[in-house]
Amino acid sequence: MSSPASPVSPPIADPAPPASPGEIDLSCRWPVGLLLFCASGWLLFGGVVGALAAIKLHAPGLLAHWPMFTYGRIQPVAWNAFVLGFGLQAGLGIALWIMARLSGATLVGTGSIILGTLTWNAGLKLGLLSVLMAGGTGMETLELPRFAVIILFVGYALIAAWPLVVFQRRRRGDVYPSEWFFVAALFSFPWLYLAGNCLAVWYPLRGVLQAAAQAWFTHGLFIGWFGFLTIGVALYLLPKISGVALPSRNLAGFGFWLLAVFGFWGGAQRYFAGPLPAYLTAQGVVATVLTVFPMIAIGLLVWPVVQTSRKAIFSVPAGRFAVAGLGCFLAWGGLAAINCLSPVRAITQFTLATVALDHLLLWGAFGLTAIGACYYIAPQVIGRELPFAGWISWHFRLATAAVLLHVVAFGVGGLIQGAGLENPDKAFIEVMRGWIPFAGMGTLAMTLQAVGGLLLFANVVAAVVAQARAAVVPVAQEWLTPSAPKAEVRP
Amino acid sequence: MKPVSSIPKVAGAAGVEPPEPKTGNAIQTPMWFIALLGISLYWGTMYLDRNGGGYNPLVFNRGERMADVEARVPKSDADLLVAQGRKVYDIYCKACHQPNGRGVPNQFPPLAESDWVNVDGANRLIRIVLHGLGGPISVNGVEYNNVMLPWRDQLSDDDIAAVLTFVRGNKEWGNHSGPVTAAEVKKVREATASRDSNWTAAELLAIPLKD
Amino acid sequence: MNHGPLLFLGVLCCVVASWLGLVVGPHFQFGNQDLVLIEETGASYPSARDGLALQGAEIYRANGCNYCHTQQVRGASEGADIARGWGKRRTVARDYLRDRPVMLGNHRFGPDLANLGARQYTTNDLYLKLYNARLLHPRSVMPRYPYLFEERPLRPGAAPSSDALQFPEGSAAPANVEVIPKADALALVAYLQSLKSDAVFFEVFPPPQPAAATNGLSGVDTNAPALGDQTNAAPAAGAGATSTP
Repeated sequence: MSSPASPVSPPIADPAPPASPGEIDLSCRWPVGLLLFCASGWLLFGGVVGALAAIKLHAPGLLAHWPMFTYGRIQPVAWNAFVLGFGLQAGLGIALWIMARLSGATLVGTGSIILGTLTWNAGLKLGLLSVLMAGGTGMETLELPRFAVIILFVGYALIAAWPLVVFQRRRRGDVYPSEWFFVAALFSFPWLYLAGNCLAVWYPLRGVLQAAAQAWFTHGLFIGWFGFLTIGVALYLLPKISGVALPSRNLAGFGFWLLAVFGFWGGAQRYFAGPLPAYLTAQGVVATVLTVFPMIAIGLLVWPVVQTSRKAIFSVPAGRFAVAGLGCFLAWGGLAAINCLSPVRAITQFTLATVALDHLLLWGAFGLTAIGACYYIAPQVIGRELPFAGWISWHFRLATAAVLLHVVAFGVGGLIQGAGLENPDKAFIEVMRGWIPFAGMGTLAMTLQAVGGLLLFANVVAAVVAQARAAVVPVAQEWLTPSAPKAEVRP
Repeated sequence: MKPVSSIPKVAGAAGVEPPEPKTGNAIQTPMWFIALLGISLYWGTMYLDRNGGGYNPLVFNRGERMADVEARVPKSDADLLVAQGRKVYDIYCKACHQPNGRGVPNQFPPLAESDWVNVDGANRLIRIVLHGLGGPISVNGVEYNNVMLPWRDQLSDDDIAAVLTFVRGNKEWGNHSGPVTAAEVKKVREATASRDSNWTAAELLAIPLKD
Repeated sequence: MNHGPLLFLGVLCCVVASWLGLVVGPHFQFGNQDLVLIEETGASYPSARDGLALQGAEIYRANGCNYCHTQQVRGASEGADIARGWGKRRTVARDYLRDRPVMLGNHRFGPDLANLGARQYTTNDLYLKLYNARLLHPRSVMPRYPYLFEERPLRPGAAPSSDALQFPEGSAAPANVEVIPKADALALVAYLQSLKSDAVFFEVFPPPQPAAATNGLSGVDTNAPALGDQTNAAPAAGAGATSTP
């Protein structure tokens, strides 16, 4: 509302002027760089494993003799590689950098963040290995065994404390809306993950209450991490790239609180007509329908920005990614609400359409937005342009095409599957034959995602290597050249 | 390592990094948005009211309430017997003894709070229903003199047991006596198979209340 | 919205409220549900699984069977589950009191298994499906689980042992080997055969049968036997519904 220098709202924490972008980027170099590097690696891995799982869905004979590659183990690995490997680390890295930039404060706690990242990756790898070795918990979306989750929590605490410290040390007067969403996400995730694991896996509640806890966690993760971060990143990137101010602070706040109030109540509609009492699923339906309103608010907020400076936004890859990602998020909100209504639900429940909806949020909304943010942030924290700039546009094409293909194919396949399942005269095997071709398109989509992930990872690795060479080579040359200069010094 | 001086060109379209974004006041929250939200909140409460099953954890079907679940539960055998007795009473007994079981003064004696009904054992009652009753009879100290028809050919043992259970146990009428079984009725029917006339009060009083 | 603590408290309230409403509240509301006593048999429902079936549940979990198979039957008004013969009634919370973890599943790439133990599958059929589902259903997408079985070479002309899988006529049975289920397969099949959600109790009584609702008491002329029949029929129907078919 007011500029940082305005006397009406003096800087809260520190009267010192905001740190320069260069200083902030330098302070972010190692921690954010490492997080984004790991995240892009997990994106590649998630794409490859996701493609493998997609193949297994329609060609189960592949690697059938290997217990660790059976669909029921490779599928949770693909999910968790994306959610916990890419989703969490990219989210944390992006949140760290944007919070530092928006707060005008340099990042502190570098060592802790690096240690936390290494811990997180170690825990995740051990956990996924354990799932492959038959150690999964059997709770969908909470598959990682207890020891791995505890390691993850240690890692998370080591990382996630610091964006909040940066937030407290901010040197600008007004808190930008993106920061609300980031702070909310950083608080929500550990609470959701801890409560979900405790009540569904570690000290499970009785009977279907485990499923209630799991549904609450899954939907909370969708809204509280992926939703908040998608919006936060988009609300930062689009005005930043275009140079247009976000049109309304009030509307942003309204959208934020609506999402926080309604969003977390969804989830139980996953078990629509299942063994949860009617009121739980009814609450899920109402909450999911009402969650459309924060989506509309965000759409109203972003639309003028995109409208007035379309050219500027689309000239930058990150802008394209952010627009596509936010579009996917709003589409997800609408489709999720439609999917709640009982005539639709009766067809889509238990089918590929459910997968399509989750994919639209994870790989579409968050995936695209976060990939765009990676392309935006990585060069700045590495301090060097990505060497294969042309690949970025290709990644955008691949990723959006993959999301579109996956969602449309699984959506249509799911409707066909659901219509078949609703017809009791149609043998189950006939229903199955109806949707297999659409599952095949999922393999194609995931392969495209994997190729896209490779483009990002190769770009990041190449930039890091180039930067390292630029830093190391002069020093090494100095060391390795014949010691003539030193001899000169000695006498 | 020297600070990065050159901003990468992905940072902005113009090649220079723009300042950090700000919020403005260009648009207001539209009224239609607020109105739609209000309508949807109203819809949400209505939906929960209709499909929430009254927040009862034993209601699972959409749109049902606890009463619907209870309605599907079969009653116990005793409840079924009483229900059957009520049907028999409505068809065969109601016309004289009245829906409230109080009878008609000076014509038909009452069943509600009657000293003939509320006794320990139904031996006399079963006989009355089977073969009818004629002549003077004192009920609750009031004299009646009329004829009751025999029902031995119309009502089965089950029906007689049911209607007597209904009458004797009818709390609305103030009766609290025990049920009658079809086996008891069968036994009396066999014992009195040769009888083809109405009972008199005097004959009945000579019969023990229960075996 | 410029105050971190307010932001934190607001979000915390939102998350905690939903947690209380969706998880903790229901836990205090029906987390202490009792098992059902089935009067005919004197057994409690859901019945406890024997040790082998419990081991089988671990195999089910470890191999992620719940990523393709649900264990929940929707009511007749919400889907064709009952029409497909996947159950006689919908599943309710009480059916899962003994499951740990509860593996409801979200996808039906394979059929529902909530009542697999009550359906007409022989043990050999289940083994065949696990060994290679395509022997029974060509182009099925169910994965093979060869690692649950041991393929022993068979001398030409020798008969396979009695434990070996019996392959249906005309199927592409592996030549010169006999296929013996390993302990894991035994346990898994024991678990699958223990899956039954068919007992009838308070929440899941079926709607009254239209035939039973009619009565012959439309007039005074109704004859006595009709009344007698009804008195007998009603309790019998109730008892029939309670017993496990």
